[in-house]
Order: sequence, then structure tokens, then C-alpha cells
Amino acid sequence: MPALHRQAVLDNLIDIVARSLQIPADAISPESRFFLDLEAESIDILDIRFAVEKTYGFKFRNEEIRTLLDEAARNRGLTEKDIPELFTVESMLDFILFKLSASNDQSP
Amino acid sequence: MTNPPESRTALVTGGSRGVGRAICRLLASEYVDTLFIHYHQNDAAFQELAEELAPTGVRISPLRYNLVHVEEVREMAAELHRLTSRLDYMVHCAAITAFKPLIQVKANQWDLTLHVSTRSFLDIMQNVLPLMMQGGAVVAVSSTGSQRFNMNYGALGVAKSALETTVRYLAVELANKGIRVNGVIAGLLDQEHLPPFPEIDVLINETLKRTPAGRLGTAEDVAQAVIFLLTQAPWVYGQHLIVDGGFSLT
Repeated sequence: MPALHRQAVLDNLIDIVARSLQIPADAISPESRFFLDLEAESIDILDIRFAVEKTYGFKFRNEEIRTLLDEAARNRGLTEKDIPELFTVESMLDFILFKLSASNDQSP
Repeated sequence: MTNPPESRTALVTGGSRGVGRAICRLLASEYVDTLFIHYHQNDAAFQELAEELAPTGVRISPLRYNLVHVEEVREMAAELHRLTSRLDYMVHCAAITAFKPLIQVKANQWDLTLHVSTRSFLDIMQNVLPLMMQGGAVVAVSSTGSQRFNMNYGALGVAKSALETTVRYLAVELANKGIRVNGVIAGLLDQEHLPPFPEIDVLINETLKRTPAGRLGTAEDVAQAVIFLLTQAPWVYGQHLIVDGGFSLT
């Protein structure tokens, strides 16, 4: 994934998160943990997810999110109960990039 | 697509789980030939329901759309127009919220709650109206939190209250098209049908103490009231049937 593209998606994501949580964009970094640092609630995650889906024209499937989180947990030697620790702006960025690359793979 | 003359169809929003699922089961048992089940997130729940209903022979069509976006409601309606030439029943169960004190509800949480739980009902009606038949019926599922204080229920209480008002207005406006619009107001349901809710044990105990029926409701209790309003209440317009085991009387 070209670095420039990754940065553009990250900037966009930070804007979405800032709007949803009503916090300044400069208070959000890739390392920000949604639940622990940004004080997001589960409905906020849905709100952010819906805005991302609308922006990029794809839909996450619950099973995909589960698989990606489980994989991220395994890679870091963590378990399901550590998901709040894992769920960062960067992890959501990775979901988006994963979905974007999957859609590109399917284009003619 | 053209349906056979006597073929009856229904759309249920939020139909894959909870009360919506119970309504789909009852509709499929004897009231419709085709069931359009709207859901948004849980493919597995829809699949499970579709498999359960397969032996009924009812044609089941999934409609996976996010009702928060008006554009997706329009897409859903366009798909419905492709799939059927008539809609006899529409039941609105879809809802979303943050269970917390109203004073702490943030703007995005308020908007999401109101958009999915209430505005989408009107969006859908506006877009499927050309399909609705003379003699068609609509039911919106509300809850007792619309009328009185329920702990941590403020945002959805406001949404359901607006939903009930929408029902009353549409009932009058659509009466001359031969379409009846009513609502069901559900009391507290058993835990199997409840979303994660703070201090649920306190709420359950307090509710049980004041419920003459001596038990919490089930999704099936609500579904039966919905079916009654859809199929057996030809002179009932813009009313809400309270299904709460008598709680609201005490």
C-alpha cells in the first residue's frame, strides 16, 4: 500500500472520528485506543463504521471484523478480553485498507 | 416481478433477531407467501432464520441495508420494486441506541438513534407506498419508554415517542388509500430478547413487582399483537396496543 494513500485514508479516518466523538482532530493519533483513550462507546464505533462505509462505498461484515481482531490479538499474544487495548485508530485504518484492497482485487 | 393474485407479501425491518424475528416466524406460519426480511449487520442471524423458515415454503428475501442512510433506504425500496409488485404488510422493528442517562447522550448518539429507529420508518413508507395495497397494513413497534421514564432509555424513549406520533399522522394521511397504520408498545421483555442494558437486574425486579401478569414479556407476545393489528383489526387506525402484562396500569 503506497504510504501516501495510507496517509490520506488515515487523515480521512481521523476527521470522521473527530466529527463523531466531537473531539479535536489533533487529539487523535494512530495509536489512540478507541475505548481507553478516546472514551468511545460501542454506539460511537457503529457511527464511525457507518461513516467509513459511506465514504468508501463498502460494508464491513461482522465476521470480517471478528477475524481481523482475532488475528491482531494472536499476533500480539493477546486474547479477546484485550480487545479494548487492541482497538486503535490504526487497527481501524488497517480494516479500511484491507477492504479497499479487497475491492480493488475484485475490479476488472 | 408480478406476484400471483392471492400472494401476500410483508416487509419486516430489523427482522433477523428479537421481536422482528418472532414477527417473521408468525407471518411465515400462515399470513404471507413472501417475506422480505430487512437486517443490517448480522448475516449469521438472518441465515439461521431463513433456514428455520425454509420448511414453511414461504419465499424469503434478505434486504441488507443500513437504514441510517436515506440513500440506502431508497436502494432497498428499489430492490423491493424489482422483487415484487405488491406489499401487503410493513412492520418496523429496527432500532439502535446508547443505553445511558439522557443527559449524557452525545449528538452523534442522538442522531443515530433517531435516524435508525424513527426517521427510517418515514423514509421507508415514502419509498414503498406505491407498492402498498388497498387493505394493506403497517405496524411500528414502540416501547413503554416512549411514555414514561425508563432508566438509561432516554434517547430511545424520545425516538419511540416520535415514532408513535409518526404512526398517528400517517394513519390519517394514508387512510384514504385503504392503508391502516398502527403501533404496538412493548413492555420489558425477557432477557433473551434484551440488548445489553446497564443495571438490568434492578430494572427487571422493579418491573416484575409491578406487572400484574407476573412475568416479563416475550418476543412472541409482541409478535401476536402485531399480527392482530395487521390482519384482524380493520377499523383500527392510528392506535397503539400496549403489550406489557398490565405494567402500565399499576
